Amino acid sequence: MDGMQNLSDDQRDADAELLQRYATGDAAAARLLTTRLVPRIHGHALRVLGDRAEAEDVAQEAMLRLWRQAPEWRTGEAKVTTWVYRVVANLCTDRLRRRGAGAAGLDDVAEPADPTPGVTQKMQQAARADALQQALATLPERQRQAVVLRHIDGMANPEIAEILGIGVEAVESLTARGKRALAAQLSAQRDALGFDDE
Amino acid sequence: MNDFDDDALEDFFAAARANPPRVTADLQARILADAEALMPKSNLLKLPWHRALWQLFGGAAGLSGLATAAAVGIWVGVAPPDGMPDLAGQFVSGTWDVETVDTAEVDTEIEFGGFGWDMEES
Repeated sequence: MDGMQNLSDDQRDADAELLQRYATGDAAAARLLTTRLVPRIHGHALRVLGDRAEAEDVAQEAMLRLWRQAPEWRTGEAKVTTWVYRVVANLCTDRLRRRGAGAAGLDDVAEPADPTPGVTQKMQQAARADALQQALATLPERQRQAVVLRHIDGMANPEIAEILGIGVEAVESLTARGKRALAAQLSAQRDALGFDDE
Repeated sequence: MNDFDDDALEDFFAAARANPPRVTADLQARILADAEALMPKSNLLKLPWHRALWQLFGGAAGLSGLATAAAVGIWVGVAPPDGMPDLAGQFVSGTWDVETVDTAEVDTEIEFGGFGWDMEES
């Protein structure tokens, strides 16, 4: 694929090794790969789509394509995570476009906070996570994807560029605009969330 | 114009990272079922011999089932439940009686019992 970075010899992709073992009939490799990849891609899809059922469909579909790809996988080309995230991003984009503008889902993303006394910090964190998810839902799809990849999935800009099929500068522009929009949303909610200067 | 700076925003991102959404067991099962269905299975010859054997037996789950079945089989042979012929005992003692049954004398009423049902005549 254009722009895919080749891995250097000393950058072994553990996921690729697992995938190739799966392709030789090793079921345990599939279980390991699932544990490594699915929480991340499912979490990403859920944050981008805001809908649990759709996020699960996307995660399952992306892994299905990975299993299909396994016999063809060649080490030294793309990283497995980059490949899978790229599929996830495209699937999310398809779904968002089918949904139409402004139809952002708002399923609960975070686990509900434990309401027992003395866990104020946990509740505040859960409230923040919820507020962020609501704010994310107001972003245009590309900004949302870029921001989630960068600041929640923790990907570097070059990898985000490969995943979204755009240039690194475009990624920086998307994340900058996305963060400005989020800041505006969250600032307006700040009083309601009861944050003091920390 | 807002005073919401990068640090404040980062607190929100950190909160999101600290609360990863849960993957349901159901989703995991579906994904693994797909993997199983699509896994190339004809490559035993490419595996090292111990891996190939492991695959043939179905891994740990398969071997434990096999071991259990074998153990049960041995136990039933050594100490057969009532109603089962003690073939092993006969064999060891040398009295290998083969019963012939005159079918005309056989009681054709079959009792339905011992299967965990009690079928009572009502």
